[in-house]
Formats: sequence, C-alpha cells, structure tokens
Amino acid sequence: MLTAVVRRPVTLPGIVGKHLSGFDLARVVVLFFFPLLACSETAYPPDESASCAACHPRQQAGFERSRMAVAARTETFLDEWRRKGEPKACLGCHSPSGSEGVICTDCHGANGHPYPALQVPEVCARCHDAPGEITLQGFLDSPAARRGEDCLTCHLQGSGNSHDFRGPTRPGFLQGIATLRMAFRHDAEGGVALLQIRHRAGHALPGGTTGRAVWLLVEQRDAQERMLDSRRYRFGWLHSASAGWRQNTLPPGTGRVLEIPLHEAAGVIRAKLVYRFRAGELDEVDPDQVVLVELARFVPTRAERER
Amino acid sequence: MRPLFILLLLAVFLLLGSGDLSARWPGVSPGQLQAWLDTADPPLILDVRGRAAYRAGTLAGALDGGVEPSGFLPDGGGGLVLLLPEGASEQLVEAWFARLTDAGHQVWILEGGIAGWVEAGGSVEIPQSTYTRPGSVPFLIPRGLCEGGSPSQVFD
Repeated sequence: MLTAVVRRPVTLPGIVGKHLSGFDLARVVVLFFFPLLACSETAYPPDESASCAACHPRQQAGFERSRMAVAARTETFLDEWRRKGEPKACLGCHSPSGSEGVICTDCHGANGHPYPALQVPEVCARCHDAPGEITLQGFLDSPAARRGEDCLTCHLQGSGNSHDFRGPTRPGFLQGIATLRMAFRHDAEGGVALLQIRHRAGHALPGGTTGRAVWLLVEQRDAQERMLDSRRYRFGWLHSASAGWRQNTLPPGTGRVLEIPLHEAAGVIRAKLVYRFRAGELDEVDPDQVVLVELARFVPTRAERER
Repeated sequence: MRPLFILLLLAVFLLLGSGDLSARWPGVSPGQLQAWLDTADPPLILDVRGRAAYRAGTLAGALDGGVEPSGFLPDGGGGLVLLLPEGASEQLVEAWFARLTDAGHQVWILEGGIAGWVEAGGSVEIPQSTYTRPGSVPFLIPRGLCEGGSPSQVFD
C-alpha cells in the first residue's frame, strides 16, 4: 500500500515506442481496464486509490494538488520527523495507510461503496485536533463557526465534489489573511504604540502543528533611519522541558493587542507579520515563509499630537 | 416652594444629562456588538476607562486608549465602539467623539458599559500585557511536534 500507486499517473516504462508483445498487451489491459471493470462492481479492488481515480478522476486530480496528498513527503515534515528519530506516531496522520500522504480511505473509510457522507468538521478532527494541533478546538469557538461556516468554506473551494484542498502552502492562500493596526497613546507614563493583530482564519493562526509560527517584528527608527529598538514576538506553540507546552497562537476574531513603549527619539515605527512553516528561530531559512502584512507609521511629534 | 421646584428641575436636567448617552450619540447594545464582532469586518473596541479598569478586565481585543482624548492618536477609519467609564460626562464623550470622528472613525458607544456587557453574557478577558519573547526562560521555541516526546495536546 505504501507505494507509489497513488499519487502519480500510471506510466508504462519500457512499453512506449515499442511493438507490444502479448505479455505487454496483457499488462495494458490489466493496468488500464481492470480499474474500470472493478468500478462497476461493489467489491473493492485491493489497490483502492487507483480504482478511485478511475471513476473519480477530477476528485483524484484535485486531491493530488493538496498537501495532504504528500503529507509524509514534504521537506518540512521529513526534517522534523528525522530529527526526532522517525517516530511512528507522526505517521498516524501524515501517512495513516502507509502511503506518502493521506489517501481516499483514510477519510472515507475502508468499507467500500456506498461510502457514508462525511461530517465536517468531525472528520477533519481526527488529525487537525490531534497531538500538536488545536485547529478544530479553536474553530469551535470562532466567529466563522458562529457564522455557520466550516473547514470547507476556506479550504475547499470549487464546484461540485472538488477535492482540491487548499492551505497556507498554496500560493496566494494567505493573502489578506491578517491585518495590523497601530494607534498611539501618550500619558504621564510616556508614549506607547498600540498594535492590534487580527486575522480572518476560522481558527487560531497559525493552524497546523507546533513547528509553525507567526512572527511579529517591530522596529523603531529615528528621523535619520537609525535603529533605536527592535523586537520580535512569536505566536505559536512554546515548549519547556519542565513546564510542558504552552499555546500562544493568535486567536480567531479578537486577535491580539500589544503595547510597545515608544523610544523618545522614535520617528517611525514599522511592523511586519511573517508566517513560517519551519520550526525554529526566525533566522533559520524557511523558503516557504510568507509576509502576511507590513505597516509603517510616523510617530507624531508633541505639536502634532496637540493639534 | 420656589427654591424646591428649581432644585427638582436641576436634578431632572442633571439626570438627563448624565444618563442615557446614547440618546445623543449612537449606541450599540451588547447583543448587537456580539453579532458585529462575529462578522468579517468587526469594529475596533476602544476602552477609555483607564489603566486599572482595563487591566481588571475588558472586552477581548480592546485597546487601552487612556483617559485623555487628546493623548490618543487613532489609526483612522472603520467602525469603533467606545467603552466608557461609568458616569462619563457629556463633555468627555463629546471630546472622544470629536477625536475619533476627526480621524475618520465611525463611533458608537457600548450601551450599559462593561456591566451591561457582562450582564448580557459577554466575556471579559484580562489583557495580556507581555508576551513571551523568543529564547526567554523557561519557554523555548519548539523544534516541532515531537519535541521532548510529549504532545502538546492529547487527542480526546
């Protein structure tokens, strides 16, 4: 089952461009026509994914574009997994049936036709509320859930029974997902930048497992663009050997507010929100990271404030 | 008899003046605000009750605008709901409205204030004043799900 069956179109190495022998013809019949024959019966052939594709080519093609289809093959996963000694537990979601990702029966069940209708978000919870993820828990108490939306509203666009699941790795998916607002407060204690982070995801941001994070970078510079203050905040999971795990993601809806004391010489303050897939520090290379939003505001002078 | 009448009249004016602010300024009920917060374009909530009240508990995601309208510089634009101190004077409310509408906000007052919000079943949170900075003790940036062999949350 682990095999290569599923994710790539069947090719016939050694056959193309040659005269076909009787044996080759037999191979063609078996490889191409058996799934179609099997499809007309209720019994399910052993190579279930190949047979799914035979009758549901559009769904199969859509699913093959998703990251779930290669969940056990991505570099991000493999890096983390190998570093931890290749624990089998991870494969419970990344490769439930021993394939290079999720396959049809992992969600639809293995009992053959007719498959029962899937309940969303319950069916997603098996992996997206598993160890290392609280995506579903976050969704249940979100504005999106109260609006009657579900996982598919954002993650499965397209007509009919599309299986083209989309997530943050899909180019453009994160565009416009987050907003940054910045106001200022001045009182007897000095000046403060009030920074509000909000996002439109129906669950905490980042979703996904503990390695992912959203970083906020805030810089204050003077009128000559000299750096006065630089801060980094990380929103994601934190871990301590003694205290265990702590959830510090950006909640859906209300978002987070940060108060950043203003340097007395600050002329401009810049903020940037970055989404990262790779575990570890911001300085470590993540070729897939996405800048969600950037913001710059001039710090008002006293005269401007009193205007 | 006449001084008593004047006194009564004055009391009525005072009550009217400090009572229903939403009669003069647009207001939003707790229920309306809850529904608004669940939309794709929720309002900004500005708590102007002062530091102590803000830290004791406010609406999730609210900004602490301080107590002086002149000390607050809005970012401008969009809907904004003001969380006023109990018994706020008309002058104070007017000053906040002027400050915020001049910056481009459309402003509403949360009817009943924080007490009305809680009474209507709204949740209040203690705002987080600090966030864990990367590399600080005791929390470290995890290297991934299998860090330490202990899952962050056990599937139920």
